[in-house]
Amino acid sequence: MITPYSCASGQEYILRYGEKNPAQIIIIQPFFEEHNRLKQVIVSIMRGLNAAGIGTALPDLPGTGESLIPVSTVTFDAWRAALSAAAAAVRPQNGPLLAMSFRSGALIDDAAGADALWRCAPETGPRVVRDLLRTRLTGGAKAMTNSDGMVDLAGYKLQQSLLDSISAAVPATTHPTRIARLKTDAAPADVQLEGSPVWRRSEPGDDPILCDAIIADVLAWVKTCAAS
Amino acid sequence: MNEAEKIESVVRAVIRDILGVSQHRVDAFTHKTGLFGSLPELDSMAVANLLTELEDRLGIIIDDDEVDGDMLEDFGGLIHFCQRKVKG
Repeated sequence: MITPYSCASGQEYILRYGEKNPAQIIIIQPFFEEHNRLKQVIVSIMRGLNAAGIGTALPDLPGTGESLIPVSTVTFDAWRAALSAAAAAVRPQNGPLLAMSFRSGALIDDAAGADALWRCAPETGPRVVRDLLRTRLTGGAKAMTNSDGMVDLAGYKLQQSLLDSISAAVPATTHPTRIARLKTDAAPADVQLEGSPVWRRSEPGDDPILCDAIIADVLAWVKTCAAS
Repeated sequence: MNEAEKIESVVRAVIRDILGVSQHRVDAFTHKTGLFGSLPELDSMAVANLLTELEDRLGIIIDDDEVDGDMLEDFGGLIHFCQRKVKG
């Protein structure tokens, strides 16, 4: 089902599966192009978790997904505040609220106020901005900030201040966190998953191997969280 | 498999995973197979993803200054570049 939530810029929507389940996970998607590339995989994971009795909630933050707010008006703090509002709207009365974030979603996942965090291939802010800037390497466009303080980057018109905030952001270390990465990723992780980096694929789609690996790890993680 | 062969196999896997080039096609790549400008899947957005994925899998950092036509011109150029970076 799709339910609304309110934030400073107006009303946004949350896609939910298994909203009556006692355990609920709020899912934070990556920003920009990776948001689109991962959508199908995330929804497959939500369906799989629902089948195993875990409820999930996927909010669209202002300027992302189906939001009607132009991304050019969005600030980093507005994303954090909207995530807090969405988390409050889905927090179960008698059970834990957990959070799963994918990639750059890890930069704001602490704002959900969840009891524990599960992160898939988390990114630091400087790496997110570097990825955006890299699209210019072979694109030819060199101009950066326009006179109105806006930046045209990788097909997005963004406020320079948003990029500055992302550049300064790193995933928070304030919550119990489990980090998952692909087996092919050389960076340290709590678990290494089978599957491919769908978030970087030119023609994204589903990846059942990755989905199954994530569902299995998250189910085990939810049990650990319930026991602690 | 020696170090150079390992790097070549990582580069092939990255091209398959990131550009969606089939295993069959990427297996047929030679060092002379053209990349940027020849391989339609490799547009500017894909270049950014390809470089970042290579960094993650090989544990290297690629400076933007190092990205030029030679490095991405053909498969052999990209492999040699990665081998040089891994050696440091």
